Amino acid sequence: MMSEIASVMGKPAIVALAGQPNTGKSTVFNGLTGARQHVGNWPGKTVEQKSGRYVYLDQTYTVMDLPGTYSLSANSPEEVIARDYMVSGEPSALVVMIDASQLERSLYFLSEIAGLSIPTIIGLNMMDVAKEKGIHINVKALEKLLGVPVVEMVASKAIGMDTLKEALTQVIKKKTSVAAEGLFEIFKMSDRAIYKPTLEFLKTELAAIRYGDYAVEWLAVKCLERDRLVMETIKAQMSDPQYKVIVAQLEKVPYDKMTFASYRFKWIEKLISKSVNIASKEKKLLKRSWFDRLSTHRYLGQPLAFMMILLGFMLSMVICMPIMSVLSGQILPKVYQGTIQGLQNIGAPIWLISIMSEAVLPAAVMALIMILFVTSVLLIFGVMEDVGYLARVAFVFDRAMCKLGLHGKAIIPFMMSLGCNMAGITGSRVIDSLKQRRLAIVVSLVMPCLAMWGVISFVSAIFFGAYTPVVLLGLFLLTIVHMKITAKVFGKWIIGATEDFQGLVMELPPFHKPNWKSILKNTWYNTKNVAQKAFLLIVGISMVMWILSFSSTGHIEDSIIYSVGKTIEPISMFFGFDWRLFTAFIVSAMGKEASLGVLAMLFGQGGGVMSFTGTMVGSAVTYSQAGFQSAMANSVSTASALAFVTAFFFNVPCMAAIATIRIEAGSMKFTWQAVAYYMTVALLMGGIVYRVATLFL
Amino acid sequence: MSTLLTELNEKRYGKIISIEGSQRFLDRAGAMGLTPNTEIQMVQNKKRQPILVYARDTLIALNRKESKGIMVKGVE
Ligand SMILES: Nc1nc2c(ncn2[C@@H]2O[C@H](COP(=O)(O)OP(=O)(O)OP(=O)(O)O)[C@@H](O)[C@H]2O)c(=O)[nH]1
Repeated sequence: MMSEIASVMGKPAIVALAGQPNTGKSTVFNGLTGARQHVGNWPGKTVEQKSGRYVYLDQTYTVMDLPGTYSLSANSPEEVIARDYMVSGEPSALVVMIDASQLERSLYFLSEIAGLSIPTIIGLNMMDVAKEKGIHINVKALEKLLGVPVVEMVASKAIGMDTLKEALTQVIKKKTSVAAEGLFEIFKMSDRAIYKPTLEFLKTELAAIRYGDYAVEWLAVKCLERDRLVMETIKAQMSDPQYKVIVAQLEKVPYDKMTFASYRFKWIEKLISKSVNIASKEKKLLKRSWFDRLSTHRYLGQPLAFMMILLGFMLSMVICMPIMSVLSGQILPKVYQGTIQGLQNIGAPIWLISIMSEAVLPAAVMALIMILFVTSVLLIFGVMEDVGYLARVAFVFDRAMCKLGLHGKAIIPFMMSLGCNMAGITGSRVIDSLKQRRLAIVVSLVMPCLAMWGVISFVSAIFFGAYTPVVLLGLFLLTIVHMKITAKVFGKWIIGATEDFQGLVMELPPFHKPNWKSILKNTWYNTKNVAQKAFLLIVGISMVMWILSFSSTGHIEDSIIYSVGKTIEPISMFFGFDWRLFTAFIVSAMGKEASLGVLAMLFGQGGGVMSFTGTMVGSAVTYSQAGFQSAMANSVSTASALAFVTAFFFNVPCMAAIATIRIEAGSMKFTWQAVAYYMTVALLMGGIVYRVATLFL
Repeated sequence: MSTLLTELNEKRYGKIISIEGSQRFLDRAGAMGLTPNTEIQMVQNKKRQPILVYARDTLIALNRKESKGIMVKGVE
């Protein structure tokens, strides 16, 4: 049946969900849409876009989840997206989520929307917490003051969902938007009406500007606040002299962001005074649990954070390890053998057998393992985020991060990288500014992941025996230096993130029980988002590597990479690398786990595969441990070995990480800059270590 | 008597008198509810750490350097 509403609107009903972070937006989104969700990116942005559908009374509604932001001041991509979408005229209605237990603050968001012509509903969430706090809200009064429906909700218990759906149907028909006269009145009349003439002037001057669907007062106020996007729009749609008149008018009155913010709060306080009863008016000290206090403790906060994260990694290993070892130790070799057999049986050419069994298949399995790993790291951090712990971690590391030109939240991608760089790169999303996010991504690549520690101790043990711990300690110290330098280089010159630097201003949400449903859902969607693209990229890069290293005879001397390596050898020797070590270094950008197999092949000890990519198959490369060790020890000097281990350690983590940078930073150019930088710096560091070591050894 | 926010002792109350800083900081602080005349409670104020204040039912962490742009008046 053709729905009444759709025909009234002349378009399908789209509901946009907006509000500040932690108001329960995601919970409502999940509650409304259930499994019918789609996750993508906003056009041209790296910000996640979630949409979904629900059916109510035979009408289908599309729900768009807008990014959660504290305000709409256009300082971050999220704010711009949320704002542009709300004024675009596309949504049929808007649900603004308000946290009833933090009414004043969460109403600020509403004050920025008041004046938009979009039909609006207020989702007054966290009613349970508000009641506990003794806050009594007269919803009817609030509805009257705002002129739109206010729906009481406890989203985590699915209370209020049906009322919300019903109210949406109504509001789309009646097209009621938030009453903003009171707010504009405050802007006009406060401080002895100092802004009144300017606002009235702007109202007439701006009448012809087309920016979206709103009352012209809204635009006038935004212009008074010198909102960047609004000013740009006005400039673009006006002649130069006209625009100059506007600017001149603005310059006649004092400009102070704080004044305007306090006008908004004046409006909010007025609303509240007429609709809210607070049980006890006397000031109470904020009560914090012992764990809360411990988590922000000056000395104990950081060790606690490390312990919690270590615990999380250990837990995830317990879950992941069995799956991983079955995948790579049992299933992959079988599939590998099976494919070879199958292709041989139908008489396929040897190169085809090789590319299938040694590049495509193992890459696909490696991608699967990586994804599993990423999922578990995202899950751990998802839980810590949900209960409110991550904000405390950011708090205790703020000072350290500031030294890198980043703010406290950047510790989160760094810590995630200790588990898996791919997860760390994904975790950089917690940072709002794109430039700051890119800086965090690029610095996080210095962090050695769990796999790296495993491989590096093994390789070091081959070369240095009992001295291995000393070498590892040295690498750890170099890591810190590297981070500092990288943060400087990228922060100052390549990204220019220093201008976007902003000290911590962050809410520490109250601790609460984890909401497993929404945690699992978020983890699943975040993983899915990265996984699909990363999968293809990993397989693609493997195939390139296969072409370079394939030799039909199984002798490395017959591959392209050998000729390249040999040609470069005179130069690479300067860094202490013969062609084999140099090649192993290049290949280690692909992945660290396969490196042992590659080294074995390069030193003429490995057999059984026809390309480097084949080494990704667990036990495909056969080599004898003793032969391998003596071959390496005999032909590599200690200085060269040190240089190699250093360069290897600081190389690009793996191709999965490269693919993820592309996805999260949203720029191919930036991805290549990062890759080129890391490979160059790794080589240089190796070179320096080599030169220094030859002086002493 | 007005002082820097960073000089307000733990567990004391204050009223914000003025806030200065970068435009980004002001936008953010304003949206978090830190505006002139807002009553705040100092929750944690330890050297070499950001400060923690409680304002408008929200626990807010503030970078120490930027908090120096906030002037408050002690309130009993
Ligand atoms: N007590 C209570 N908790 C709730 C309610 N609604 C949501 N929550 C919880 O509050 C937390 C935050 O909810 P989210 O839905 O993730 O909030 P959000 O607004 O999407 O936050 P961001 O994802 O940070 O933008 C979750 O742990 C929810 O389970 C409610 O009505 N009452």
